[in-house]
Amino acid sequence: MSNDSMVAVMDQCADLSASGADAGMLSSGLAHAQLPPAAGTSTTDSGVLLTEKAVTGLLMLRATSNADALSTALKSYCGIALSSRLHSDTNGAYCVRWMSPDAWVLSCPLEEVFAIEGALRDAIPGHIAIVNISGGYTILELSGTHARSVLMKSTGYDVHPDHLGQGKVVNTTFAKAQVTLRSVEVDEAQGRYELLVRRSFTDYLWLWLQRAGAEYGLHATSEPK
Amino acid sequence: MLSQSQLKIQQRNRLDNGGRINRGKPITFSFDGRPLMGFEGDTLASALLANGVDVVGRSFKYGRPRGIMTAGVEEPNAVLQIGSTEATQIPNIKATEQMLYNGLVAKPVNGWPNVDFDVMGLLGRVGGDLMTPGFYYKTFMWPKSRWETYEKFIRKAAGLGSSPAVPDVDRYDHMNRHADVMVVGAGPAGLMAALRAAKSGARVLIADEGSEFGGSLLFSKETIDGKPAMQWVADVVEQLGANPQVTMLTRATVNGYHDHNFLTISERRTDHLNDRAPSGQARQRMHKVRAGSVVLATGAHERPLVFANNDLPGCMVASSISHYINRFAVVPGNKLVVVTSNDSGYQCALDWADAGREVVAIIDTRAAPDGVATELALERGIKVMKGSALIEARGKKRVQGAIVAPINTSATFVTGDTQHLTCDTIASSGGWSPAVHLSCHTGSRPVWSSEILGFVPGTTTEQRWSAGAVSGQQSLSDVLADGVKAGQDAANATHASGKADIDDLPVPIASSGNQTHCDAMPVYLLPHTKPCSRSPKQFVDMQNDVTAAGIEMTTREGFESIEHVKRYTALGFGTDQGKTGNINGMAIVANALGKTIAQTGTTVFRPNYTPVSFGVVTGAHTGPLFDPQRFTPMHEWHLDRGAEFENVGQWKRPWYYPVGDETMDQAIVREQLAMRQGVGVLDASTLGKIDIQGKDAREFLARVYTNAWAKLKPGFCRYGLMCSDDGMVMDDGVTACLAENHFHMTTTTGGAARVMSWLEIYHQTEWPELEVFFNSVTDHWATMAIAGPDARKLLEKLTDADVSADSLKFMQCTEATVAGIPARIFRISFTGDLSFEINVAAHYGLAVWKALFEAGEEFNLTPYGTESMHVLRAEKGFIIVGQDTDGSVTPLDINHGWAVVDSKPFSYLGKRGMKRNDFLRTDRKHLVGLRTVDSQAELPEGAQAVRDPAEPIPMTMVGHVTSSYYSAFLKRRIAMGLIKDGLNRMGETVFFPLRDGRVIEAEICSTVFLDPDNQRQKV
Repeated sequence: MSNDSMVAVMDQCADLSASGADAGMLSSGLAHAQLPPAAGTSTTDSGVLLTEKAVTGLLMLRATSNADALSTALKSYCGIALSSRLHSDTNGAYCVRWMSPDAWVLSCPLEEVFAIEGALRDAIPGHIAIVNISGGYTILELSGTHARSVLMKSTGYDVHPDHLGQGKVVNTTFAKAQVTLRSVEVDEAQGRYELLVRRSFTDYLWLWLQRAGAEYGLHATSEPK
Repeated sequence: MLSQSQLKIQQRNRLDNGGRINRGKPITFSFDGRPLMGFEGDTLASALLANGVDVVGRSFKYGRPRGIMTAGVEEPNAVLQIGSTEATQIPNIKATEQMLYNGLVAKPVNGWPNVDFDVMGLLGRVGGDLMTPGFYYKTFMWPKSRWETYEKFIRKAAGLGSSPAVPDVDRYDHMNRHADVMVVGAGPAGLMAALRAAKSGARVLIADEGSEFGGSLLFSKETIDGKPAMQWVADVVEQLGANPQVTMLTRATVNGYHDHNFLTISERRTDHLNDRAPSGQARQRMHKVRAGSVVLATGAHERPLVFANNDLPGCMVASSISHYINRFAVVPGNKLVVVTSNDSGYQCALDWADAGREVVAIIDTRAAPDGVATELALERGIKVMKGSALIEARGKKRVQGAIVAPINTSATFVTGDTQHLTCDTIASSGGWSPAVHLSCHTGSRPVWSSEILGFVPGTTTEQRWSAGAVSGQQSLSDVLADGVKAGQDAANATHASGKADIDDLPVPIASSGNQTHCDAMPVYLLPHTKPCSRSPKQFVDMQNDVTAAGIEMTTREGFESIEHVKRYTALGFGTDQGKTGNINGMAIVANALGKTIAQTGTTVFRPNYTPVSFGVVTGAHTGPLFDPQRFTPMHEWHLDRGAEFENVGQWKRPWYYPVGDETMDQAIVREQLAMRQGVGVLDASTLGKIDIQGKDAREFLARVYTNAWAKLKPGFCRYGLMCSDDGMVMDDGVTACLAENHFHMTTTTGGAARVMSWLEIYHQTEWPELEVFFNSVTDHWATMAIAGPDARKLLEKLTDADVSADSLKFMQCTEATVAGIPARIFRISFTGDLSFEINVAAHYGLAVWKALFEAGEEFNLTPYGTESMHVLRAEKGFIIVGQDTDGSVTPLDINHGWAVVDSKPFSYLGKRGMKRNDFLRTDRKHLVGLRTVDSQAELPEGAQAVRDPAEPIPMTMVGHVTSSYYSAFLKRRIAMGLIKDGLNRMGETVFFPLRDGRVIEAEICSTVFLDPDNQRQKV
């Protein structure tokens, strides 16, 4: 049985050159905030640096009994297996995050989403689900010496490095929204954290983070596509 | 204005040397309009005492002058209003807790025109008996008509400050903290507990309400390990500070101890700096602490003794005198009389004498005190009167003398002649009440210790230890040792145990060592020559003006439970929650009832330990951050277009788009006609969208929807009706079959999360065998619904797909590009007109929306908002779940029987519920159309229907209006309503009597007002 006819897999990535449009057609969740480009800003400039990542390809991967097969397929395509409970794995532009016992989110370049979905589906004949959710989320990154303080103001989860070590991922309440919080890089002095935020909540969290970070001199930038 | 030197002269009670104040940094402030000066390091209370301010307020019931009585958070009298502007007014600030800053403006909270001359004071002397115990209750009961009169009087008299009349200008926030060991209180016990726990590798959080760590050591003359106490504290603080696992918080009151070792701390971050917080900083912060173990080292509050006129300014608790002298270099008077029932009362006399002022006498209630404390006093030549009591203070606005008399050994009556001692200050000590408050917050009841004459923390289900004075330790050596042990036990009980290997931390050596002491005497109310009811007032609770006589009277009136006595007398109410008076009050109740204090028990302690501001409770969740506001990808465009917004759940949806000076009514008429006659577009991105994949997806849909899904082919859409298990309509929406095993479900905007949970719950608990996955794609797809006769012409300009009537039929869907962007197009309609819903990934949403308007210019493409959408759908009789349904209607009630298919092989949710007897009645309320006889008469939503407008009240009500609009296209008002037996009474008339007397007449009709043959949407 071919999956192709069973599931509607659609290339949702616009071929902008062909359509005569330009990259300006792509607007991120914080496009309206008109954050300055991230280039040239270092985290030492301020206690907290907030960076909105460029629009990224995101695939929701779901599997139960076929999780091992999906993991193998992912490994062969992206070089990383499905992460274990509360963890994430990164390989270059690919990062997979454990979300729940049968769900993972893979981030990848926007242009590769369709190809990856096709490859994974071809590799697994059985019951899985893969959903393109690239438009549904914004990725924010918090870094700097006070990044952890901002997290402490925002979430009840214990963000101490002993508890939220490098690579750990949790879905938790953040202010009054939900985020997927990932510890990208931590040491005693500072940390870098990724917030995977539902797109419609991005503005709310942006306002929240501005306020929470004000006393540490929060500086905000955007990563250009 | 007074000069600096004049201001300095005012500080007549300030010593030239000593104290933890910075004489190099004078601070000016004002009290009750008077400019005064203090020093950096002062509390407002110490500065007032330094300036010889005796009267800081008037008592609320009797209007009696009151002065500062303590040096801590237990202070009942020195409750002040501070703030120099209206926006920064803070009521109920304890002068003993507020640090002094330049420009501080303080006012008394009651007493007018000012505290020194007070009309209430005069009233109080004659009118005080108006307000006997239980005054509130008695006046509530009888005579009822008098209450309104009394209330004004009471409210004005009882005011403890006023709230600012304008919004708070400061910011507040919250911070979450996690600790292996949370130590509450940084006195000697808390510091040792923190040190010991930290050394074992635990993450430690230690918080103290004071401006600096030290607790009782801040005013102690003892040495520890040979160092002055505060030098030892500084060394410990340095050690703790060097450990990155330790967090120290000052000015941080642990106010609540909740279940599972969750504690709340309110930290005053800038209240000591200025009237207003510096820009960008939070004035106060609430720390929410999740702790593995908790060590309570909350110390103890000294109890005053109760004697006649014990509320006169100049009557203070004994330890507070040492506190003011040793910490602030302030001696609050010239001639001191001490009355004590225990050894600790002696220390203040020694400190007073050291400060070079006169100690008139120490009155010891014990017949033969023989401890080191008494010996030291006698060695210093201080007169000690044993077996005696101070039975009455004399004076007007300040103590001027004391009446002393010998008493019997149980301190119940006077045994000999009284004598008068001239003095201006009376220090009293009735022993120490451990600060058990937090220990009780989780439900643990305190236990009376007859050894220390106080309640100590009882057993608990929490992982909690107590150390030091709160657990009944009274000598510094014992307190330090107790702290070490608690810190060790607390750390061992957490996972931090074993992280670090340490030798046992040695217990520091306190200079007082284990010197012999004499047992304290259990005495609370000192006797008078007259009986309690006839003697001058003996105050138990200063803040509520509760007297010993009042409590005795209450017991005579039959109140025996301490909880009843509390509520009848107000003992222990107020902002101080009776920290100084409660135990004395309980002792008086116990004595009156012939019981022990243990039998009488305590009232229940609840959070918060001390008052907290509303700001710190709210934190940053204010204004736009009160609740998340969700925006669609096209929000910026809506703003530019001047849209007004409607809250739908957390979403901000365009409500209507006024042009120029249009009113809302004008705008929606224009929007409706533009859509019906040309083409309009609605931002429908907020609709809930769920991607469903799996070979059993179709079967699952058939079980959660009431209608059939077996034959829906790929590329086709179907309306689905969802019921909860009780058979009531819960949600609706169109679901498209994208491929054999792949569906795209839409839900109502407000119901999205509920439906998603609903699907997951049934999948995970009832039908886990079905192979299906659900994923929310609400945020992923930007959705724009173009509708109207010109919708196809517009779409054809932008898409590569064949969207002609024959190729993309009504209720079909296809993949395509729109404006070069990959899209899914659903030919579905919520207006009854030709309509396409275009879905693109959200990051392209704004671009495609703009492209629509570029291409739509020739068609006058008109954006319409939710208000027009409501009207347009109502014209066609489409329901809105939650507006036309309310959780009490079945599909049959709303005439959706066509969407209920009972022949499905497997049951569906709601099937059994719908079959209950009451739902089979034929005369239930049915959703019907309501055509007003007067086409322009507005039926208000919610209006009640009757069949006979002439029926006398109470009329028989037969239903109500659920939706009512002006239809611009039909040029008349339309409405829907739930009317009893409505579907069987088509054409009948119902009447709607309105509040203003008008009666609107309407005919029951079909809900479909427009195009009943469905021609418009199928073109």
